[in-house]
Amino acid sequence: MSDNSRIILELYNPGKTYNNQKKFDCENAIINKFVASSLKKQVRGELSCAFVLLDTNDNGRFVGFYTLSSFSIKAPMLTALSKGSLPSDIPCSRLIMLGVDINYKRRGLGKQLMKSVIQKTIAAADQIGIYGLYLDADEDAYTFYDNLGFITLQEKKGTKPTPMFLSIETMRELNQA
Amino acid sequence: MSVLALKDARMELKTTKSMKEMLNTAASLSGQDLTSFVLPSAEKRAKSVLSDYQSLTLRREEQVNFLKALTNPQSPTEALKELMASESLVER
Repeated sequence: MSDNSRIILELYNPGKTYNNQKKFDCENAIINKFVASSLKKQVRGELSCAFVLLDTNDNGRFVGFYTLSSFSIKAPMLTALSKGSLPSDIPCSRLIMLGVDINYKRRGLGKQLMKSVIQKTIAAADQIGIYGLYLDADEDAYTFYDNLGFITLQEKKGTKPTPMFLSIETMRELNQA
Repeated sequence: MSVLALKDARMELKTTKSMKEMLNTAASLSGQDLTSFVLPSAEKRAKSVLSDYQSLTLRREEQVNFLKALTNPQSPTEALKELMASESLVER
């Protein structure tokens, strides 16, 4: 693994220009296009918040990111099934997108971003009471999330991504350190 | 959108001549002007995108599984333990 000590994470500021943001390439055309032309608008419009990975050795180059938003899983029977102990709309955080530039692959940065997503979710849960982390997993990422303990909320249909969920209790169990 | 809603904004869309012709023809075949023909479909799609962005509604049997995950959360997997024990990113 290469030296990651010059790579830092910061809250994305839509008012700031990031070196290489328009040329960010994580080998996924949809995500590349999103970073180049929609990320700023989405964060400005308060539809999500984003954290970005910057290489301080290369003029703060934009080398990775993730976006989070609030989300709710609607399960109308839940209140009855849980005898009143759960609401029927379960608030969660949602990981919308995550990507690392192709020139920075194989350095464990994607995993470090994922760890950060979980830490942010735990911090949010401490403040506003959310039940877990939700995401839509693409086929090539499904196994990664499955191994981390995410459960499948809905079986896969065709080429659509799979909705997955990790409970806050499971995450908290590991965050005592 | 209500029939009486005041239309106080305009939208301009770029397209090809042939697409415009097709939309115009289809609109007149259904007895509508272009605006009333195009906007309801766009509105429907917009609502669906917005709702998918904010929430997911589970079906009956999925709710039972979800309840189990919430009331009886599983212990962290080895992969999750490893991830959370790994070095954190430096944040500024």
